[in-house]
Formats: sequence, structure tokens, C-alpha cells
Amino acid sequence: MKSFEYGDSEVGRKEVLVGVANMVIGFGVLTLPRTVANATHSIDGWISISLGGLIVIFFAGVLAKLISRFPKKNLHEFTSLIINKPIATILTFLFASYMMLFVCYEMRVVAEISKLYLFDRTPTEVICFVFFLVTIYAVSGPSTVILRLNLLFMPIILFIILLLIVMNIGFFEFKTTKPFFHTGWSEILRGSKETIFSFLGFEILLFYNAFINETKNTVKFTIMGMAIPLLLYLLVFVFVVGVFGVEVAENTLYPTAELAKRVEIPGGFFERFESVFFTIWVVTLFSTASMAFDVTLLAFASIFLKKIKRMTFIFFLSPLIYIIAMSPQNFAETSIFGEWISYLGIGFSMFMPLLLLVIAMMRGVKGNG
Amino acid sequence: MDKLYRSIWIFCLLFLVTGCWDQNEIEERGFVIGAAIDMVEEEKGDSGGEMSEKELGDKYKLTYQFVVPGNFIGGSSGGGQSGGGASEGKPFLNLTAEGTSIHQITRKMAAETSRKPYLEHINLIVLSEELARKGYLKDVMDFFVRDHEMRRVAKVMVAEGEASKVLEINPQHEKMPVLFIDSLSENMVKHGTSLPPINIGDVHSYLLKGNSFVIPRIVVKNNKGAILGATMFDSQDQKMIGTLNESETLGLNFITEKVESAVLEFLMNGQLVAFEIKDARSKIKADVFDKDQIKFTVKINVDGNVGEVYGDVALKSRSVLSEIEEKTAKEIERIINGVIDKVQKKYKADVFELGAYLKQEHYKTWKQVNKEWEKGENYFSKSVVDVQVRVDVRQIGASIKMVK
Repeated sequence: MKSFEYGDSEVGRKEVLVGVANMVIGFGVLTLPRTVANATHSIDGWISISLGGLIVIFFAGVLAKLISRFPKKNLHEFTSLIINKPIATILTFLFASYMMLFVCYEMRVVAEISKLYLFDRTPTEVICFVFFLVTIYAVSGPSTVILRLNLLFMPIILFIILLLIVMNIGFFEFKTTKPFFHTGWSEILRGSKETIFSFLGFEILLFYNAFINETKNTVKFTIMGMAIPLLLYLLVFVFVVGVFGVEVAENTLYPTAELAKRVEIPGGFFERFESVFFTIWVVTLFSTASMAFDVTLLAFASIFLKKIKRMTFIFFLSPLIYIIAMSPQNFAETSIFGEWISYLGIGFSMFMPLLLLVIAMMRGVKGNG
Repeated sequence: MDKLYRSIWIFCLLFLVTGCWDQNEIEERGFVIGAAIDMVEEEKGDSGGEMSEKELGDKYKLTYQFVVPGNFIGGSSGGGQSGGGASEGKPFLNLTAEGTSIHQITRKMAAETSRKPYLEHINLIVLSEELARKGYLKDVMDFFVRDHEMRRVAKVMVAEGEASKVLEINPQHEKMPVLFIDSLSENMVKHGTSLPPINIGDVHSYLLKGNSFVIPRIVVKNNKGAILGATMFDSQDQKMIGTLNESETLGLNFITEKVESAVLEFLMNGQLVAFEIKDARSKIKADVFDKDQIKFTVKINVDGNVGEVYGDVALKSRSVLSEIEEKTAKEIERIINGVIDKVQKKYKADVFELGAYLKQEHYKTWKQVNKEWEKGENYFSKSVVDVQVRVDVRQIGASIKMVK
């Protein structure tokens, strides 16, 4: 990856904020209302979401603290400093594999839902392939470009989701959200567990740290970036329950998509609001997938000390990713696949950074930045 | 050479953007705007019940109403009898097929027509009374909730008698029966004597919640349709258990706060008075001290105008107005108590959503009574519903008195 002539290969804090938010908002926004309603059976799920969100934000803070200790260094480099090189290599390799699986899952899900709602007859394989080609095109360029692309997408995504909410205000019934505060703690916690899965993704910073030029406020901006999905999830959950009721939220595969289909404004264009919603949603998944793929490449590159060209990695990994993405046979298998990845994600984004930070603090290791 | 290589690559990629798989020419689509589902008449004599595993004989008769766009513009509105076939000049076409599942019948129909049925614009689903009584509502609704083409906003109604007749009515002012019924259902709300439209999404939620519920009822007479009253479904096996007539539906609407406007007629000193309701709000309170006799108090506040007065009633004095208010309140109470009595004693089905109210406001009591709300102990039937109506006359119109 040669540096390029125009601009710098660095990103500011805005990109950190937006990148994190965009990475986190992904598939979860469609399914979260269902999984949380399933666990809590009531509007009290908002407690679950807040609780889960706060837990994840804490860990995101930990991760941000860790990386701001080592400015301009990626996971491989600072783990080598904190522990030693072999362990750093092993950890980075595992992390890269996890990120790769994440890309697979993300792609599969895009294809799956596009097939359900948009392309009835197009084979999943083809939808996936086309989506993947675009992703490959995105990661062929430098990483900073993908990060900057988020700045472009974010306002549109927020606008469309808020529009979705606004258009449903008329259907929102306060009555259906009652009763409040009657869910047991075990159910709330179970809901939180489901929520945590939807908040993963901020671990990309472990590698994007190398591009961040303003190291001072990384913690603050990471947390701000995480707050966006938290608020969005709360809003969507409350609206899904308020419009459809808990029972329907529990039994609809993608409640948020149904919310989009519910929108009804006389006259032409906006009656098909779901098509706008899906377009935007594919865009968020595109940026999520390409960031994850990009991080995979960065991670592998860091192990092999940049001896191998980025394009070589892409050519080598792409078929592998595609094959893994296509291996789950149906919806149930895809969900299990997703669950595994989520557990891995908890390990890599929450416990690994915490451990590294603790060791770094005990040994007093600091980056030389 | 390099350039040639690239050009070939780019050319190959072009094939990916054609999107041929899901190509659908709009001319080849048959836009379905309404569906009617009937039971196939059984000749074997076994009355309803579960269908035996061996014989997957035809069970449902499904009628789709297709739009015929060519006839839409110049087509004569109305246009005589419809025989279900493709008669000339009509902007719609009804096709019927029989089968065991809705999905299969839809496929079957694709073979019969040149245009593939396309369901995204479906507006109305009518079920026959027989189908509703046998409890197949939940089975046929599954397709409409599950299918990705469907939107949750299609209205659901139960026909008196055969459902396919509804799609054959003679529409007035509209070109197609479905659109006519659609606007009818919006209008009928203003009379308060029919239910506000219930859509697929609502039915899905009723079935999931497992309470008793009501669906608007459509009656066809002399090729004319009217939405009158409601069809009640019970909570246990979602079978239709009975109907509510117009005034009973009005009473139900008062409790569930769904009256937008309505006209009440009553006699005062032997003279007819028509009272126009402009706004009605209801407030429910429950006394759950004794769960064997839960006491609901329904307070209803009605605002309205004097719409029509016969004879020599002068609307000048306060006392006359308060008499009208009192009489109206009495009348409303009578209507509401009538429906409460019928539903509580005869059908034991909580269509007032009082159970839902308990869940929302008295969760602990609800947990205790929920299991036996409408069966077993029958807490619903044992509960007492006290109705208090307060009426305010807001306007009396432009005249005080008509005759001297």
C-alpha cells in the first residue's frame, strides 16, 4: 500500500465518531426489536437496550483508552510492545480471522434480506456476489477513503431512519406500550445480552488507530460514536412496540422493515417507503462490510510486515470469504453463524482490549507517540 | 493489449448489472386489488372440523379481483352483471380458483390468466362467514402476513354469506367494487355504526395476543354492499361466534373510543330529536379489589350538536338543552348496556379490550385472571361494567324553533 499523492492518509476525530457509529448500525437495527421483545415481552426492553448499550460503551471506552495510549500503532504493533511479538502475531491472526468471518456474515445477511424483500427470483449467490464485488472495489483503495465515505453516508442514514420514525408517529399508540416496569431482572439481562451483539463493531479502531491524527479525544469521540446507535436503537424499539405491540414485534422476522412497509402516505412515491429504507440500509451494510474487510486486510498485512501487496491479499481472501458466506444453508444456520461471530466479537472487542490495557498499565508500557 | 484486456473485463461486468432475474414487465403483471375467500362446498357430508390427512381435497375458493387498466379510462362506470368472466369494457376482472392453500391457488391462477397475480396492491380481503365460523381465519391469514409482497395495511372484512359476492357488487361513483368498498369503509366510520377498518397487521396482532376481537362485517343486498356491524371472534380457537348489529357496534365503539361522529334519534315529549355526536371520549377505570367481581367504570364524555328537531321544541332555554343532554345520555347508556349485556352474558367474549386495559393498568390482577378471563372462572363475565355518560350540547344550529 503506497501512500498516495493527494491529501494525507490520516483521519480526524469526526471520522472516528462516524465510522464507529456506522460500523455498529448494521444488521441489528432490523432484528433488535424482535430479539429484545422476545427476551423481555414488554416495552421494558428499553431498559435492556440502555443497559446493554452502556456496558458496550464502557468497553468501547476501554478500547479507546488502550489505543490512545499507543498513537499511530495498530493491534499487532502495540501488542508486541505490551506482551511480545509471537503472541501479538497469534492474536492478530485470530482477530483477522474473526473480522473475515464478520465480513462473510454481513454479506450473507444482505443477500438474505434483499432476496426476501427485493429480489424474489435472483439466487442468493448472485446477490451476494454482486454486493461482494462492490465491497472488493471499495477495499482496493486506501483505508482512509472508506472511513471518509462514512461521513457521506451517515447523514443520509440518520435522515431516513428518523423519517421512518416520523412517518409512523400517526400509528404510535401510547396505550400499547403499557404496562411499564414489570419485567423481571433476569429477563432484562437476557434482553441486554441480545442487545450487546448489536453494538459490536467498534473493534475496527484497533487497526484504524494507525490513521487517527488527533489522539487526544479518541475516548470521547468513540463514546459519542457509540451513543448514536444507542439512541437509534431505543427509538426504533419503542416505535416498533408502540406501533405493532409487543406480540407482533416478537413474531415478525424484521420488525423494522415492517415499520417501513407500514408507512402510508397517499400519492405515489412515499407509499413505497420501504424501497428507500432498504436502499439506505444496504448502504450501511456496505460500509460495515467494507470496513470489516479493510480491517481484515490491514490485520493480515500487519502480520506479514507489508511484504505482500494488498491486492494479493484481496485475491486470496475473496474466494474464501465468498465460500464461507455461502455455506450456511438456510435462515436458521445463518442465525447460528451470526451468534458464533457475536460471541467471538465479545471476546475480541471487549475482553481482549481490557486485558491488554490492564497488562499495559501494570507494566507501564506506553507508545512513544 | 492492456487496454483491450480491460475493455473485455469491463464488458463482462456489464452483464452483472442487467438484473434479469427479477425482471418483471409491468404489462405482464396482474394487479390484484382484492381477494375473497370462501369454503368449497363439501359434498361428503362431514361438517367442518380438521381435514383428514389423506384427502387434501379442495378446501378454499379464492377469488381475486384484478385491475384491467385498459378499460379503466374509457370504461363505463358500473356496467351490469358480472359473471366472474372477462366481460367487455369493465375495468376489473374477477378470477376464481379452488385449492387447499392460498399459495397454491394463487399459483393455479397464474396458469389461467395471461398476467401473473401481483399482490402488493391488495386492498381488501373478504372472508366468508362459513370460513370464519369454522375457524379458518388464522390459516388463511398466514399467507397474507408471511408473503413478502404483502403490506400490512390491506383491510380485512367478513361477509355475510358468500365472500365472492362482495367482489361482484355494482359500484357507485367508483369504477371497481374493491375501491368502492374501500371508500365505503372510510365513510362508514362517520356513522359510528360500523367498525373502523381493521387491517392484516391488526388481525395478526389479535391472533398473537389471543384475545377476542371484532372484524367489520360486510353485507351484500341487491348487488349493493354495505358495511354494517361487526363480526365477533372468540379468543380460544379464533372462530366466529356471532355478530353485532349496528347499534351494538355503536355501543362497542363508544367504549373503545372509536366513535368519530354518529347520529342518535330519540323522542322528547313525543317529538323526534336527532342528536349529532361530534366527539366522544371514554375513560375506563377499574376497581380490582375483588378479582371475582372486578368493577369497571366507563366514563364517556360526548360533545355534539342538535341536528334535527321536530315539532315545537324550542331550544332557547337552558332547561330544554339539559333535557336533551339527559335524554341523549340515557340513550347512549341504553345502547352501551345493551351490547355489554349481550357480549358478557351470551358470548362471554371480551371484545371491549377490558382485559388489555387490565394488563396495561393493573398488571398484577391481570396476571391472576388472565388464564381464566373468558373461560373457566370467566372473570370477564363476572365483572361489573358501570357506564356513565355525560353529554354536552355545543351547538343548536341556526334556528330556535320551526313551528309556532
